[in-house]
Amino acid sequence: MTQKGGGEPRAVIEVQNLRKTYGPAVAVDGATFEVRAGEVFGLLGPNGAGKTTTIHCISGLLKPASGRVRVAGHDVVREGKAARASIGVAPQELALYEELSAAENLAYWGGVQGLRGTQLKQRIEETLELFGLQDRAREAVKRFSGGMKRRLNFACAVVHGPKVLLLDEPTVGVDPQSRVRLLETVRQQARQGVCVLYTTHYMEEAETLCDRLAIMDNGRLIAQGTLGDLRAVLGERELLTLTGTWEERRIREALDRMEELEVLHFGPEELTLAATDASGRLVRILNALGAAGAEIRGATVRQPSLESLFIRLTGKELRE
Amino acid sequence: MRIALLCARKDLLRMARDPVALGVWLGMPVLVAVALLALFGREAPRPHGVLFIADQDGTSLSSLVARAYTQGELGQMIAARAVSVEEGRRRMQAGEGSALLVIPKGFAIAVFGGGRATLELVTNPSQAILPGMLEEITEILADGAWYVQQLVGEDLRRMSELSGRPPDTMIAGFSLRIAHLIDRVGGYVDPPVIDVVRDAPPSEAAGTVPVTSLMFPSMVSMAVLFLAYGYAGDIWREKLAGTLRRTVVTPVSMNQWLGGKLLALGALFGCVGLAALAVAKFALNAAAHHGALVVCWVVVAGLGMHLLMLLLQIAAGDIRTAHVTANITVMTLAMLGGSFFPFEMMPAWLARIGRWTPNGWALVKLRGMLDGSADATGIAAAFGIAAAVSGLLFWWVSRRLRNRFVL
Repeated sequence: MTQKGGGEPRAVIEVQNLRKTYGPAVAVDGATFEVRAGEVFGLLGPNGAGKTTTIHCISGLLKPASGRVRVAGHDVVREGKAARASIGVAPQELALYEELSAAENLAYWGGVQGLRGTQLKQRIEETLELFGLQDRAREAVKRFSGGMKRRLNFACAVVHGPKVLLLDEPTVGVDPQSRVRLLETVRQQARQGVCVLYTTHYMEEAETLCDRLAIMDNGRLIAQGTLGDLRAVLGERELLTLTGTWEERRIREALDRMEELEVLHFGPEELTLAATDASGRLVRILNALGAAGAEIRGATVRQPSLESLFIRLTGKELRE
Repeated sequence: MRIALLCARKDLLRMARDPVALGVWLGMPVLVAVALLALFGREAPRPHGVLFIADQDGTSLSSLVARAYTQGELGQMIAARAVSVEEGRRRMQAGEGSALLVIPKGFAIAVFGGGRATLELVTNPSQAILPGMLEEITEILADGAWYVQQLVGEDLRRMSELSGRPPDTMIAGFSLRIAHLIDRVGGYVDPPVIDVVRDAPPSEAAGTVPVTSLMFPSMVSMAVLFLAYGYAGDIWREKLAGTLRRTVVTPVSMNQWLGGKLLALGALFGCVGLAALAVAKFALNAAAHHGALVVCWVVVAGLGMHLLMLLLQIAAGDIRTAHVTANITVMTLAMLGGSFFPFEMMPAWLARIGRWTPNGWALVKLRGMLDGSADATGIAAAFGIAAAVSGLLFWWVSRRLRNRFVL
């Protein structure tokens, strides 16, 4: 792992005030973050939050409207070719030649990234083994299962040994066995010093895999840090979601009288509260709301997590 | 260049793994050719034309002369139209006919009287075959008239001087003199002293000449056009499979990637050119001139067509529109540009348009190279124009791919 003066690993991806617009629509709005060598950085957010657009700007597929993106010390706009030579991308959708075999796909994608001769052959063999595809290496990809295709899609991104790995929701539609294998491979790449930028909307995946995280919504980064940093934002409070019908004014008055309780979202039929020891105080809260005329149909208590943090920050569910 | 070769290898492998597509694009021209041969036979298609006849004499002899032009098989090719001299000249000016025959007043008297008779034949310079045939017939008629004058001119002159039907004694005397004439010349004509040797190719070759000269280049043109069209659609497969987008985030430039695709297809066109030469030489027993140039031309013209088809594909907003647009274009080009039907089977005005379509122009040049009629300057100019147009199209396609299509 490369160190900056022997201290913290240097930033391999540097994103400063990144902004990308499509006409009047703002897809990414002033995103700033860094990802260091050997680090897995998770970019979390619901569909349409701007995660994929951010990845596309970093990979050079899209040109930012403003801001600056550097990869391995190269500006992705001005020194695009040099920047792209350091990158391996596993796109969200499969990007493979299905008529070709796994080995031929790896040979092609490794070749266009600059590998040749013995080095290319060696890397193909290593990568096939790493992803458990050596037995089907000569078979046309179109005969592979979905999970195998996913693994090969990922393998094509790492065959040339990139410094930066951009993984855009690589586990979507993957069976549990393949998912475990993929996540282990991501960790392995990071251990080898690869800088990994990982987008997902699976919170549990991000919690177990990522060293640092950024939460994105409506094109903006709304929080970033380690998992511990982010949990601290929420504190020890639990998340209580209630469904039912009520009169808003009377319920708000009832809630105002309770201590250590914050209203995160107040809808006509759904109410989200952050409360210390919500599970222990649940009966008291329900009684108070019942006394204020509410008809409660359901109650859910969640422990502090990235999911609850997301709700805390945006007032909405991650999968909305 | 290494990257372009790598991309070309990838595409050649993909082509090889999809032999059905290749078979369809190459098989279609063969099917069409077989269908056309079944429809029209192996002989060259008959030309059709109009002969305007301005008969100012109005005698039996002038009617006989006029009918001579439409006798037997000639009648299937030539339609005679009676016109006045003025109308005939006007319609010839408009290019409506193959020739105008003017039979002047006093023609029969001149023929029967042993004098000088003049037939005027105005031909259409924009047509090659029919006017030539009409000139031949006119010359035969002139020769025939001279021999008739020499042999029985005196009798004819006497009969023409009579008003009304000749008396029976005169007809009987004329018949006897004809019989004596036959006895005198019989030794020469039965058996003929002079053997008439027909200078025509043997019957097998007679069948292959039209196929080689008309259908065969069209088949090659159709194969190239369909391959250019078929593999242009691959750009949408690359886009929808995500491989094009993935390529853009590698250090490979769009020029290298597109260059690789053209190298692969160029190799395929080269094989088509070689196969065409082999078929011409060994299957059709036809002479194919400028063999190397023919193969090069098939490659260059094919790549130009492919780039044009690519541009059509990527100009469309979605795959459905792209396919509809490309289908309409390729069928129109195939029909007009001589790929389905040789220009000789089209009306002259349509053939004139067809020769200026991209594939029609390429086909004309190909035929020139195959039959050896193209000169060095013409060939060099054709290659220069094709290379320049292809270069422009390459730049356009590459730019549009990177800036618009890939996203």
